[in-house]
Amino acid sequence: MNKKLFNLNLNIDHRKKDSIHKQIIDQMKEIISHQSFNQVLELESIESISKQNHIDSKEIKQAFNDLIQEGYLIYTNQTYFINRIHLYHDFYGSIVSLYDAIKYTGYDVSMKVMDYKILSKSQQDKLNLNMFKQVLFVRKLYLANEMPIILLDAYYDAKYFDQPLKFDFEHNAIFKYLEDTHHIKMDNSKRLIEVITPPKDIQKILSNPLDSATICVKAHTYQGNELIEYGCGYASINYSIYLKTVIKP
Amino acid sequence: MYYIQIDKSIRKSYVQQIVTSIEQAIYDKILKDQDQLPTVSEISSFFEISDIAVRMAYQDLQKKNLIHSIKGKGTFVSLRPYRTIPLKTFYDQKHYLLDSTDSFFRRWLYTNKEKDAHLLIKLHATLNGFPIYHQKIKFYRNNLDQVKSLLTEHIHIRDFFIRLNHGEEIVIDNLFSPKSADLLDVSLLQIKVKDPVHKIVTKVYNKNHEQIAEVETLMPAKYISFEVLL
Repeated sequence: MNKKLFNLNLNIDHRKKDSIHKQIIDQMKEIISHQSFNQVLELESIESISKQNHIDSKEIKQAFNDLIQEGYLIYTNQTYFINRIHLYHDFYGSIVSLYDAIKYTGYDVSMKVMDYKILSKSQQDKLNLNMFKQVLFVRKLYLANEMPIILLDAYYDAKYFDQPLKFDFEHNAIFKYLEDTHHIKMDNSKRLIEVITPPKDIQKILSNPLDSATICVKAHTYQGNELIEYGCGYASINYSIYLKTVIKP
Repeated sequence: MYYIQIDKSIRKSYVQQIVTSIEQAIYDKILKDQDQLPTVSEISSFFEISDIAVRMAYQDLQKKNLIHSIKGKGTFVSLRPYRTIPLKTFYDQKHYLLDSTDSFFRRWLYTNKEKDAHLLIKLHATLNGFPIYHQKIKFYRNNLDQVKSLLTEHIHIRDFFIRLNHGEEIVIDNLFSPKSADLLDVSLLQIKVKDPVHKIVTKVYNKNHEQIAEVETLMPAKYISFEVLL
């Protein structure tokens, strides 16, 4: 990752009418909006920022937490980063797939397979996926400029794979494999868009603050009436959905 | 458990008796939202009836969306309605929520700072007595007199924007983003701190891409989700 330590110069006026908290937030937003987009910028520790700028470290911490909630900063491995990856996904526009949505923004996109396995009966029951005899689970992580952006858990009926655990998930698209070998055309899909607070392990992978809310998209993809794939995508906090409509009288 | 009554002498199934007594308790407001119900074995041993009857009664109530159970925690009363809204019809359809809302409250305030003169309207809608959305609508430009006159009529927000734009088409940008509830959201939406919230910022433009209004909608995400059909 191309990292750079960012030197923060805040200009806080104690005589001003605005609170220090508000001054920090306003100035940080101003600074962040002027940064270029090709680097991951790491902030110094709160202690050193507080020493340099003569501000109480509690004030800085509070302001930073608010900036994380608004998506301006990311906190991961006890370090604050300036976050400039904002992803807007238009479900009804030209950008339908998630991959396109990331690419379209001009970020450097990559995908990592984090886990794949056949689920046990009890795990399968928990997910209500009993229409499948055996469930193949694949967990993928999408990164934009090396920042985690979406964690995708996908579940398939294992009957379509000869040796499910030997499939090369890294380099082969499962959709294409199913189409080529089993002539499956997934022709309808239902998606549910929720806002949830994901489990701790998922928040950690996505570098989200532990109790932050994120968008979660649950997808059921069918061929006719037969369920082929169930997917659950957890987004990082800076993922939003964009929808444009024209209303005619 | 006093609100559950089982009379073994009458010709009515135990399942039916448990269901009606819990329904009655909810109706009489003895049981409130999120109250915990006794466990299946507690009821069955107290009344000396079989587990199956109690379990069937709970299943019945669950189907009616009156209770829900959380694994390892217990069974709870859930009076708040859960609904899914088609994403595409957000602002595109008349009365998408208003039809079913039971209270509707508006309040308006003027802000007259030199740069940012606007009219702010707050809408608050509830369903079954629970908040379902809270909206803040900001109107820009110099049509505040028109806004004021339109406000006296009871019209849907979609028609409101079109009439404000002299009956011409409007362009709407919606941005759906996640939010953790802060103290203000807690009081507005009757949820807990850090509960997930849908935050939808809507910008309304006319044909020439001049902004007419901005709407911020907050919805309790535990009770509302959006559906997309592709």
